[in-house]
Amino acid sequence: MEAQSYISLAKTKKNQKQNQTGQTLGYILVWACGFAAIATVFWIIGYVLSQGFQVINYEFLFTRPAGGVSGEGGISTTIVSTVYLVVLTLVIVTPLGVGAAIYLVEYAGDATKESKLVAFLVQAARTGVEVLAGVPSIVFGLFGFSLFVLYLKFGFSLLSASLSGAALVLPTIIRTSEEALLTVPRAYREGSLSLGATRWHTIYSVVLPTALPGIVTGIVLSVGRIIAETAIFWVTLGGSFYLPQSIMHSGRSLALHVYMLASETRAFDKAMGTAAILIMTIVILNLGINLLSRRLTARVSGK
Amino acid sequence: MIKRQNKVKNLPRVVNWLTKGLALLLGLASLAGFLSAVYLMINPGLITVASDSLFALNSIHYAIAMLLMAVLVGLIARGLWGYRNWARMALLTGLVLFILYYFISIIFMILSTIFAGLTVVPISSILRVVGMGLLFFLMNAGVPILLVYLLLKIEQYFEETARQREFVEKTVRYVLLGMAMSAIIIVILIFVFTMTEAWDSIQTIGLDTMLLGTIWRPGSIIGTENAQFGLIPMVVGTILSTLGAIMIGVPLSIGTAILLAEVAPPAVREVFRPAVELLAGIPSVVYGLFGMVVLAPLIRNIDVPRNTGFGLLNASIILAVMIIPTVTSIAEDAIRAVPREYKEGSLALGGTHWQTITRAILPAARSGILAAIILGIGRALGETMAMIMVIGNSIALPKPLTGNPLTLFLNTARTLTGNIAVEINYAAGAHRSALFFTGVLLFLMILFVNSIARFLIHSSERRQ
Amino acid sequence: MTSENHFDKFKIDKLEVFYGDFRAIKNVKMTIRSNAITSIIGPSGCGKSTFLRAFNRMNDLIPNTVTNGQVIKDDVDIQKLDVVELRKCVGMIFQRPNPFPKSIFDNVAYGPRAHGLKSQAQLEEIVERSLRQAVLWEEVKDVLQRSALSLSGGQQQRLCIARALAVEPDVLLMDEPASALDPIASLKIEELLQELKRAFTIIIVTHNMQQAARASDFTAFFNMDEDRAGYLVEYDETIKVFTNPEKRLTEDYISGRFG
Repeated sequence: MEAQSYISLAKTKKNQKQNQTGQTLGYILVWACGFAAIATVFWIIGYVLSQGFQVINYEFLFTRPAGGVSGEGGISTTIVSTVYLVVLTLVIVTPLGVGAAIYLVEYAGDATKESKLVAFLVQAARTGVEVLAGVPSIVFGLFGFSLFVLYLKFGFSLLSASLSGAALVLPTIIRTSEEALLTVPRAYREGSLSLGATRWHTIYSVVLPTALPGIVTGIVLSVGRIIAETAIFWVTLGGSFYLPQSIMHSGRSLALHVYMLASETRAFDKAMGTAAILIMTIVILNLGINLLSRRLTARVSGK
Repeated sequence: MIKRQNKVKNLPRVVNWLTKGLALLLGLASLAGFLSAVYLMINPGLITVASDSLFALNSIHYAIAMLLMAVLVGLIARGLWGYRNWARMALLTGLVLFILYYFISIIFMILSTIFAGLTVVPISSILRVVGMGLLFFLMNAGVPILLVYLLLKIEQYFEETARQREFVEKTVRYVLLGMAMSAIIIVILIFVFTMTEAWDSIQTIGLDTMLLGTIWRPGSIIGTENAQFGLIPMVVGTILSTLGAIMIGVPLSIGTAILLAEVAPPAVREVFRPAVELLAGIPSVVYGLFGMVVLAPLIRNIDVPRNTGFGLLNASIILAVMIIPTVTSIAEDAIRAVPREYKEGSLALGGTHWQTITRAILPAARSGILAAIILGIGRALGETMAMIMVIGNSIALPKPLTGNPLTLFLNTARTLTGNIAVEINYAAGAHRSALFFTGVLLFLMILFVNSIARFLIHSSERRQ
Repeated sequence: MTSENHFDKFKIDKLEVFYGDFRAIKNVKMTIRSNAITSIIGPSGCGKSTFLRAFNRMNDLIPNTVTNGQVIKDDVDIQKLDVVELRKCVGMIFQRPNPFPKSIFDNVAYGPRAHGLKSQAQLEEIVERSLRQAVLWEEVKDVLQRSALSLSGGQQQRLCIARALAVEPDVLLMDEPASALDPIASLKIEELLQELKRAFTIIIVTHNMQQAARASDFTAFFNMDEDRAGYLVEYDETIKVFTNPEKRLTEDYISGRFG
């Protein structure tokens, strides 16, 4: 702490009463900020849920959008398309991301010291993860559009969207998996190796199962991200409100449907309904993550 | 030392028959495939394929593929006969993939019957479809499932040599290295593909026109002669909306950060922090919807001509709310990272808690707080969907609506991100290329901003 | 291996271990007798653990480590052996018990499974044999599926011993195996070692001199030189080292004048 602060503190010691009022004002200020933030959360979520629940019924959930300016119909196909999208993206990105994390945590340390080439590759790999994490989602959309939709001729499809989505959440999976693997105690690895097990067997039989809760947390986080994302799917998924019959067909995710209802039709009530479903899903996912990480910390400290 | 089990003792006859039987079957299939491939190569006219997809196939391709498959199956048959574990695993994998394929097809079929109609499907129909689907699945995948079960059961009779384990060990290393490189490969791909698409605009329209031009009128519908591709209006829209977001959101966030880190009791913290984190999870389209339905009418109440309720003010408020979680959490971390000695030293001198916060803690945390703000800027710069829903999307350079300069924020505008999203689906040629250029520009801007933030965080950590 | 058949299980010559530029142990020359307990004593930081880990090449796992000199087991240089085979023959027990977060059965069966054994019947046989050898069978035979982490510290350490025994080694390395345990559990481990030495060669690093004096047949005393490298001061039968040591330094350490 700089000397000036000490001196100025000593001077203001004289004005005790002034300091007290200053403090009270300061406290009020920060509490007001906090409450403003909380109020915003509750206002937005509360409004959307209250407006949305008026529209949600069995029919809303089980019939498909009819298209048209008045936005008739339900959101059944969008729910299913979103599920397809999430599952396909996870199938692509989970092995890739977890495998990358395994290499970076378990193999990279020694490999770096053995060969200059490998050291360079590992550094490039880590930089890649950092850069990828900062790419805005619309740029992922453009990338997916040019590579998958146009160049590889997949067209607007679940496949194009999932591949782009996989690129989006790859850094998240890699980072959370890395953290999870690092929490596994070294003693487990040493014990396994001293029994004559190979390194891969050690990872597969001991390290991965122990790190699983952390890895699953990362996956759940990614699911939330995929569900909430719109820009990237706007240009890769297309907007067909029919149910995709295969991964090469187009579809419409829930978030995309909210946008299209709000911008192309006047059915703001249905948009609110869809948004309400979205918010409920996100809230449940968040709860899931909180529970998982609490179980994680209990496990680690209970050792 | 464990003696390796050479020939497995007590091999039940059933297991032997099963394994050898499977091996024979596969051998026959391999032979059949081989012969068919040869036949196909001799008579290529047997197969005609549509050639509009990227991978246009003809008979020769099919023949080669069949040949490779036949060889593979033959190898597996040989391995199975010799009780090799890798053959068992390969067969298992093939069967599982086959079962999965049918499973997914059934799921697609069932779901499209239940969910795709314009009217609600009655429960009886749903049950009927599910039943039929299950039947179809069992008919096609029943035998493979049985085989999978049996193959798993007889695992203990298959040997796995040390050499095979070493082979797995070595290959795993390289496979995983490849996976680790995936991120940087994607980054390179993004750069290559977006730059390739953007290059056309740089050549035909020119960097100076795009970066300095103040009129954006792509006119793709009319014809590209009078088309103008100046990005300045969008740059101004982005900057103003981000500025507005910072002015509203940063004070709120830092106040909340101070609250959570220093002032609030732990019970309150347990409630507030998850609530703030919840803000981060809300999809941007929901924010946009809220801005359209709730904020726009509210803003329309301000009595200024041509005030539609949409525009920079609406965008700034929404954007401010969206950056609160980011700025709050990083600022809170920065405040927490200040060593306790600073705080205790100040208090020991008789300073109040508040004075300690403002004169000791905040100055010490300033680079972390700055980093938080900069990351918030990065977040605001990249936001797309919420922006196109509330900012009005006008392509003119935003100007104040009346003499009062503040009414600038009541005017509509368009952001760089919104520009891309709104026009990409129908843009062509140079127009589309210009949009890709915008994407590259955004990418570089945000990369720059994030690097500054990261540098600040690292330098403050090092100082601590 | 009967207790009459003693021979030199290990011959160590000019052994040196470097961590990068730092020399942890230097110029060690000694032999380890089979079917006996050899204890390694010395002050903290004098390289005892490093020396122990040289026997199963665990030092190779630490990057930038260089091992010079020779460790010869059964007349074969261990550097020339396949390291996986070596670690099967030379088991290791760590200071803090480190059972895997799996069931008791899966912990003991881990080693054999890792080496390719799949037959459930044979695994059960091995698990029972190993747990009996580690004097843990009676306590856990009904709860083999329970998590290993639910056992007490002493039981966990005996489980780790059983786990090491399951791969049928002929040498056991123990790095202060009882230091993290309470005195009663510690005593049980000592009794176990006396049983085990009939069939195995045991090398144990210990801080506890009473334990070394009571339990081991041979003792090696290491000390740290001025260049912070560890070196062998004296190696002889335990009785001799503790009652009539050759070196003055040894006597000082034994009587607690330093360390």
